[in-house]
Amino acid sequence: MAKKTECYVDTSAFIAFLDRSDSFHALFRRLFSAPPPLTASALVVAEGHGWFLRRYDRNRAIQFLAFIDALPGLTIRGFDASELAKAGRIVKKFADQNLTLTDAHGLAIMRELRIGCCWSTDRHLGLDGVRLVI
Amino acid sequence: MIRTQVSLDEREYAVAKTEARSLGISVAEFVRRAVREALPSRGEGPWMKFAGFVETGNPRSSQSIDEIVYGQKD
Repeated sequence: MAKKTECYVDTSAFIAFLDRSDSFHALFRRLFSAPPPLTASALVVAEGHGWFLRRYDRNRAIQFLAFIDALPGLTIRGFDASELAKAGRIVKKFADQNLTLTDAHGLAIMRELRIGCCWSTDRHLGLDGVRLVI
Repeated sequence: MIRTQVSLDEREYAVAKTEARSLGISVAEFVRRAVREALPSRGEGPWMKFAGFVETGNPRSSQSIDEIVYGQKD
């Protein structure tokens, strides 16, 4: 059987999966039910946690972290000074876009690891030509 | 069926009893349903129990994350 292709996963894919109101919920429910190896920036986890804190409360934010812990095959890429430099270069490259550091770090990771597939509903993640699953 | 015992604080018990009564079921059945809801469906991984665990009412929820996390410009 062919090995599943590794994909990058962005905050928006997590929210679409976790929020049953989202118009992409059914798609991501299906995708997450049998996930391939996934990679995400540590900033994605921070952003998702922040979203639950702002939108709901600390208990839901902790549930989000429990979901991240339970998800198999997820690699979290750390964010240190060298990753900041890479993300910063991408923010400057796309200076005409409202790119967050989280988006830029995702683009840097996909470029470096040559990941050709991205789970996201955010068009910014497709700026470098990587295929979004939506 | 396995018989088990659970301890609830007074408030939890009162609310569970009220909810159970409104559904026309016993407190025991109410607790069984709550446990079933919290568990993943058979054949699904444990992470799937989180699928749709919130309901914002916003179909563009995943596309408006920045507004929530970083706020909107004045």
